[in-house]
Amino acid sequence: MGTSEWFKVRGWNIERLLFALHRITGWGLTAFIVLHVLFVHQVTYGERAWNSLLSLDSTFLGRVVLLLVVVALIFHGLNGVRIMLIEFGYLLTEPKEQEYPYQVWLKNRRHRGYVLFMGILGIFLTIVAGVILL
Amino acid sequence: MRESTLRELTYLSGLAILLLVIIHLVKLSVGGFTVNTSFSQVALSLKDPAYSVTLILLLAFILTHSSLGIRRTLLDSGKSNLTVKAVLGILGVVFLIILVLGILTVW
Repeated sequence: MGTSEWFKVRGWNIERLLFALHRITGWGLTAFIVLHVLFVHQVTYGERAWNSLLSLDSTFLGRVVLLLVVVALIFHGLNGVRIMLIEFGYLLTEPKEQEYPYQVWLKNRRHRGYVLFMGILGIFLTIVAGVILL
Repeated sequence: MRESTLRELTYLSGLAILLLVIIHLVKLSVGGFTVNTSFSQVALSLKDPAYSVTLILLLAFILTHSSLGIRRTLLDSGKSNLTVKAVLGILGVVFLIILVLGILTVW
């Protein structure tokens, strides 16, 4: 699937949305970690340099951006575990003959249960992160 | 390296990140985020060798996981092997600089 396919709405289902979001959050988190290391390195230049950068973090917008990063991290982690569980066969359906129209995604009850669990835990952790950060 | 080995490496580094990032976030949150990100507190935290090693390991795992993820994305997007190798080569240099910066920060 080409990158442009990620953003084609037609023919989407939740599994495809999770796939696209996993890739997008992955790129976002990679960009964040590079900036984060450059940011934290300022601590070696003394308190003044650190505080000048920290003042950006302390603004409401700075806190919201940090919260978005945490949300991306929570999603990427939970969805990554889902991908691993599929890979190791724990969330797959029993193999059987397919009939048109093909609607096999999330047919396994355990898979649907995990996606639901992902959603609930994700919302709970986002609220906790929001309380800590905002 | 075999594709299955690379996939295993992605999963293992992902699990390691999950564990280490929880330690990092809990340490940042307990006692208050603002207090824990103050200059004195950050400097104190970085003097703890165990925590510093945790952070370096976390960074190394993240950079490994990111490289493998970017490689997968490029291959899935239909990029040629040469393009993938070129991008990963540039990325390798950038990530190495980031890793060195990270080590210098906690040194």
